[in-house]
Amino acid sequence: MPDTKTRARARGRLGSRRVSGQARYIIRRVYYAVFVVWAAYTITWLLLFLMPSNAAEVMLRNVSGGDSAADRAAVAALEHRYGLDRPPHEQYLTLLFRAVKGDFGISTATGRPVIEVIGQALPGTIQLGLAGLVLGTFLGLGIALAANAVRAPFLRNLLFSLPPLFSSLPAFFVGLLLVQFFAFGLKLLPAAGAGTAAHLVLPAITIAIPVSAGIAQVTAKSLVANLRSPYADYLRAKGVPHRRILLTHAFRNAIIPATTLLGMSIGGILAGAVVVETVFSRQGLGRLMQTSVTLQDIPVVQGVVVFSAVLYAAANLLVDLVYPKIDPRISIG
Amino acid sequence: MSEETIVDEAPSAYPTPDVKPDRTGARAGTTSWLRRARARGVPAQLLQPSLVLAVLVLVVVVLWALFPGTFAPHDPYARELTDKLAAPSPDHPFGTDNLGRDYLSRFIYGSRTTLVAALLALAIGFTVSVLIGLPAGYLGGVIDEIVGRLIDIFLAVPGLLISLMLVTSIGFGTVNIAVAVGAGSIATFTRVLRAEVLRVRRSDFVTSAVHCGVRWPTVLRRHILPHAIGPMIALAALEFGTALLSISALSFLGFGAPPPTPEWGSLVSDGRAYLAYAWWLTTLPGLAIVLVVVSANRVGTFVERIR
Repeated sequence: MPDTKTRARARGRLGSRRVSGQARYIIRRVYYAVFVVWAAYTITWLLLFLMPSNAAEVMLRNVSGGDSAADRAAVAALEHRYGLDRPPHEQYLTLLFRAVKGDFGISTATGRPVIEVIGQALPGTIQLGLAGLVLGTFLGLGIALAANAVRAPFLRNLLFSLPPLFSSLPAFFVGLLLVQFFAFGLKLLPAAGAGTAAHLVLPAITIAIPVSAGIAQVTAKSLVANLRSPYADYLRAKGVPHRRILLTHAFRNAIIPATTLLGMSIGGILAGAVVVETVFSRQGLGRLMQTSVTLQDIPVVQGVVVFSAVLYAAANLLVDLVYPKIDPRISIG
Repeated sequence: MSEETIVDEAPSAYPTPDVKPDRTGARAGTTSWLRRARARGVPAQLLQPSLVLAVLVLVVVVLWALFPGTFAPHDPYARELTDKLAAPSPDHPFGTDNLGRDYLSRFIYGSRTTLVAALLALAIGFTVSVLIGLPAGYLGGVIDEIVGRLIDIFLAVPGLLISLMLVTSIGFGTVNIAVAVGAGSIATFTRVLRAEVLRVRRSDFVTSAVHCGVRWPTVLRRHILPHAIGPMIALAALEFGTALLSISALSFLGFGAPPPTPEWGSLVSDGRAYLAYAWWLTTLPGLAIVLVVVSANRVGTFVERIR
């Protein structure tokens, strides 16, 4: 009797610890996400601060369009206005304080607040990114499953060599090839612009290809390992058909590394959007980045980079929280 | 006995999950020169057709980069206005652009700028990561903690965005994009090197060197670096393809050398305006880039495997 009592008490203690452990885990992940964003902001600021180019001079050059032989007095006036003549730590703290409040400065090219410019470009990229992510995931998982399902060695080798090929394709080339074939050749889809679903197809495919390469590679490898593991041998001995082992048993285990990769590929999608949105003349963060670099609009460029860190941190936080749902063995705490 | 055979063979009745297509080319049906080379004692590992082909492609491109004048059929800047936007022909294998310039010659001259930029980027990523990762991994403590965190942060932001930010600040041009791409790859290199250093550091020979009173910079140079550099070289071989892609992308976006100078990325972007009626201006340079990158990656995976 006392035995059961202590056991029950122990169980209770364990249970409560799991709950608090879960909370602690979530809090730790959130802290880490905030840390990543802060560090990204600090590092970008530091890099730009250490660069030899003078921000005020760049600004003047952009405004006047002339050479860098900017007027000394004008440079000094600009420096004073933007606080660039104050000591570095003061500049940093002021800027960080503003950034926390959502003020990332003023675009030197358009004179509008950076946060507004980014907010305006965001919807287009979210649409493109989500479409690319979903397409890339299905494509990648499809390739991985097919590579492990087919028996002919030729097909098998072909499917296994697809992911490395996909990751060697320059996005600008894929995009232009698709435009050439589907827009100019077959006249099926629009070549550029945005608005309808048809406009989204080709850019989404272009974004999806590198995403699918990573997912296919990791999942195919993990499927191979799972199909070689003892539980798969046991299922085979029981007479379970290969397809069933693959689809219902191995697949569920193999999908875990792909989830990690999905969180990491968010940043890659943003980088891909720079090229893809330029190729397809779509409005979005990538296009904004391209034009801002061309115009040397440093505040906007820094804003987009920090934003990509925010996205990355958020996506990984989400993945960390979803993990235990996919794999019950991953206990939190 | 017979039962054991059945057990042994049972799994092989299913498609054997074999990821490595190793030596598949060394089977029967390969070309005769391959068989002759093998008979002469060249290791079979080196004679996979895909590897031989990849090396050939890289050799050709490196020769193009070294002696563009010898290989280019035409002057890359000469305009033949009578021959504008000509389709590929024996005289102009890649066709001509809107100014009548021979596109193959431009591509060959472009390999010099592009390859040099990719190698420079690699050298920067490699060297800086050795300078940072080696002492950090060995000394440990606060320095290592900081370096580890820095790597995490840099890996959180895609390399291309870091490169773009640096390009904004230091300006455009071939050398500048090479520096920017190199800086964007430092985190990847440092992560691998640091992990290797942490592994080698625990070896007995390192401990004995330290106990013999060897100073730590010497331990790093003489004992740790030679043992930690292997994976770095394999990574560098793989990163070469990535660097080529990044540099082409930056050049395509218009941040490379100014207009008349040919670069792989800018050649594709120049052809973009004529996409509807001059397919060769984008497709042929694009395919050539893909071929080179695939070859670089093929050699890279080979280096990684033999290490």
